[in-house]
Amino acid sequence: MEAYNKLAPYIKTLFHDSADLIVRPLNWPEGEAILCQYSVLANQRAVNEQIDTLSQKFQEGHSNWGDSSSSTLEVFHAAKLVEYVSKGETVILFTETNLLLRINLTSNTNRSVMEPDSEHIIQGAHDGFVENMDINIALIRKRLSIPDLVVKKMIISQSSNSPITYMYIESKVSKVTLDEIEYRLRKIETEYLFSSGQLADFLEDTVWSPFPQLMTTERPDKVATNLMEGRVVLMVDNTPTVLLGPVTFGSYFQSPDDFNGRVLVGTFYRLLRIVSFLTAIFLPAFYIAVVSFHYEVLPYELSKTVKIAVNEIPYRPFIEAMILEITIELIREASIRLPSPIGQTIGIVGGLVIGDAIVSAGLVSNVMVIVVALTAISSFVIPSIEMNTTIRLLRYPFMLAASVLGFFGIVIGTIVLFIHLINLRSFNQPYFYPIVPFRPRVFKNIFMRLPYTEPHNQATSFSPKEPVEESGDTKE
Amino acid sequence: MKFSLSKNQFFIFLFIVQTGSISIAFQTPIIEAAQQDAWIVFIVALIIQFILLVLYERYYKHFILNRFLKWLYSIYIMLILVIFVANIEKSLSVWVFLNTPPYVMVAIIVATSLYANMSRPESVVNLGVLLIPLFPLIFFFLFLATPDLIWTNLFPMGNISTGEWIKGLKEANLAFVGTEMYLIYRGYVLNTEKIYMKTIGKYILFIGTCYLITVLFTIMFFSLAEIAIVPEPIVYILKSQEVQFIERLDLFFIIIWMTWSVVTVIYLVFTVLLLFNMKRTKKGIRSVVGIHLLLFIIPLVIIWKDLFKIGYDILMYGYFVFAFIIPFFVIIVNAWRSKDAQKT
Repeated sequence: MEAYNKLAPYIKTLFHDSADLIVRPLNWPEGEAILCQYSVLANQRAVNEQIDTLSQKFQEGHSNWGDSSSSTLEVFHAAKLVEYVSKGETVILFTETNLLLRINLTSNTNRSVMEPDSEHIIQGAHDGFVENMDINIALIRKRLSIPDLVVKKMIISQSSNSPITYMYIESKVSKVTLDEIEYRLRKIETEYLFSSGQLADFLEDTVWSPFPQLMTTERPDKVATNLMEGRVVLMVDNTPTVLLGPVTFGSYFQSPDDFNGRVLVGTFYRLLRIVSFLTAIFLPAFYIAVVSFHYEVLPYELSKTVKIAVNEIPYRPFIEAMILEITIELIREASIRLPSPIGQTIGIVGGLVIGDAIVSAGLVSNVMVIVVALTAISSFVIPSIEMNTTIRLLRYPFMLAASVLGFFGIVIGTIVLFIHLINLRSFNQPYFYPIVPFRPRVFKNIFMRLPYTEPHNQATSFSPKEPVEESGDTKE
Repeated sequence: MKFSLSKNQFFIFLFIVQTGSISIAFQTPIIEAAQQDAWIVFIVALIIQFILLVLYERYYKHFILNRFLKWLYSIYIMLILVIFVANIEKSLSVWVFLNTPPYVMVAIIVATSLYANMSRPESVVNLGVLLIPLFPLIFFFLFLATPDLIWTNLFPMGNISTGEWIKGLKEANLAFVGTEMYLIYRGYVLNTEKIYMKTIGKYILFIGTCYLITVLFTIMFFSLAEIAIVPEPIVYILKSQEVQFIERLDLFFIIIWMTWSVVTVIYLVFTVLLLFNMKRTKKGIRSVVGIHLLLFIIPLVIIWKDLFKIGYDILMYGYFVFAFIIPFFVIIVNAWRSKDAQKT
């Protein structure tokens, strides 16, 4: 008890006398022992059983009595004590021998493995990641039971002790990409890192681009296929969302459903998604351009209807479109934040009641309601939630360009967008592959779900490569 | 500038530069010069182009420009550019923006080119891919006019004089402005990708078919008297089409052509930068901005002083000088020098 009385205040000071910290003397066959743990993090029952087993082994005189799959015996050091206890482990100090026994049996307060809400599919696996990195790694390992699958851990922030795990398949990953990722991870300096979104900000090539350069997913099946294509997976502890990179623009239009169904069906829906991408960006801009500048492109009968509808509206088409677009965004945002039954009600009230009332009040025309509704539906067709939000954001500059310059504005906007996409990189690799570098044979894969034969790897350079590596294919 | 091109990228680039410059306006001058035989004259011009490209391919390694010639080529390309930008503005003001001041349109085109040319070279040379899906659309629209074509307009054949042949050939060759880019960019194609005579033949056949369709459609759609007063016949053909889904097809064609033209402007500016190997240094960026400033001012002067005719003539003769005469002498001199060097 003498040692305990001396050490306990010191240990408590190390943890700022935290209320959930347990520091108490432990009954041990020989000498004094002090137990330290965070009561909220330790799995008490398992820890007690482990202590009983170890004390019995100690009494029996085993030489390595402290070593087991969940415990280790080490030389005591205050820094180690703080590190292990902070992680949720239980530490037993032996004051006479100056040893430290760490028992890694933490309590598992995890939700069950269930399908992620943001990535529903009809056919295929329905499990999803949870807020526990070990479970997430297990979900991937279950699918890829190969020794080539490498899992590496890195502590990013010393102050918050945030562990990052990255995974890759040794035989598939590009060495250059892996080096680049490790370099970027080492460069991160931050006080804390809690979400994959924060990590993406540090890793992305162009943070200010509206386009995501790292794919996020909560689906282990998607991660497994991407690993097989040579990509690297990055996980932040306590978040179910993982990052995949390097990615291409086209990969955002693929869904696991494509590969679980028929080839033709998969191709049809992929084409539909690409069309919906174009509709979601260009339809309101196109309508504004037609109504503001180019009435003559519409067939006579349709132009008559549109003119009658628009004539009653006091605002310019751009303002009219903005009113509706912002309303749709408000409804969407409100329905996400509210509990799901109320969220659905908001959707109905917003969509039907406000939609109808806004037309009756003469604020927007009924044709504009059709255009904006179609645009909203189109944007939701994109399987990736990030690309979905990007598209919703992109339509505003296009609407503005169309209201100022008509079709010419859309053309200029498209060229600028295209240049931006061509310039983008994901871990230094071309984001707009197979358009840049242009590979006509791979180009069709964007639009078609071809019969599965083998995974294809991403291009590693913006310039086309010679068949033989290091052949000096560039000219100064 | 450090980049490389695959064979496909190279020919897409060449196709866009050639078709983007003059594709909607070249039909009228050829038909005016060679009348019903314009299409035969055009086929002959096509053969000349094929021979020219085969010769380029054979001797491109000897096409090494000194500083003076680089300046000369840059001035010539800038000339094409300013005339071209002025022409785009003119077409836009006739067809789409009747009341918008020219400087607004020119500024927007030039600003887009500036943004593109501030990017890395690989991005610029790949921009043409954007146009691939638009290309079939043009011909889909054009083929809607098939029922209105009068095939007897092609007759009588072979009645033109030698003078008309020469004039027709001169005009027909102008449709291929940009061929000289072959020599400038050929060195950037991957060493492993061989360009055979068959490859050039396929390219000429493709571009030739596209052009020939527009020439044939123009002859068959308009009478010779009408052609003289129609500066952009393809646009008129599309304007006269009545389809259920759209009232003015020509507007869509103009939009596609506009996209094509802006990309061509970007390509041509890039070529000027390439000739001087401008890098993304402070000095390089200043030069890029300077070139774009010129590109903004000179087209406005052309529009203001109505110098289109002079510009067109300069372009025609300039093309012969820069695609035929200068390459011929440069290649001969360099081939002779390298032979001499080998002997010593």
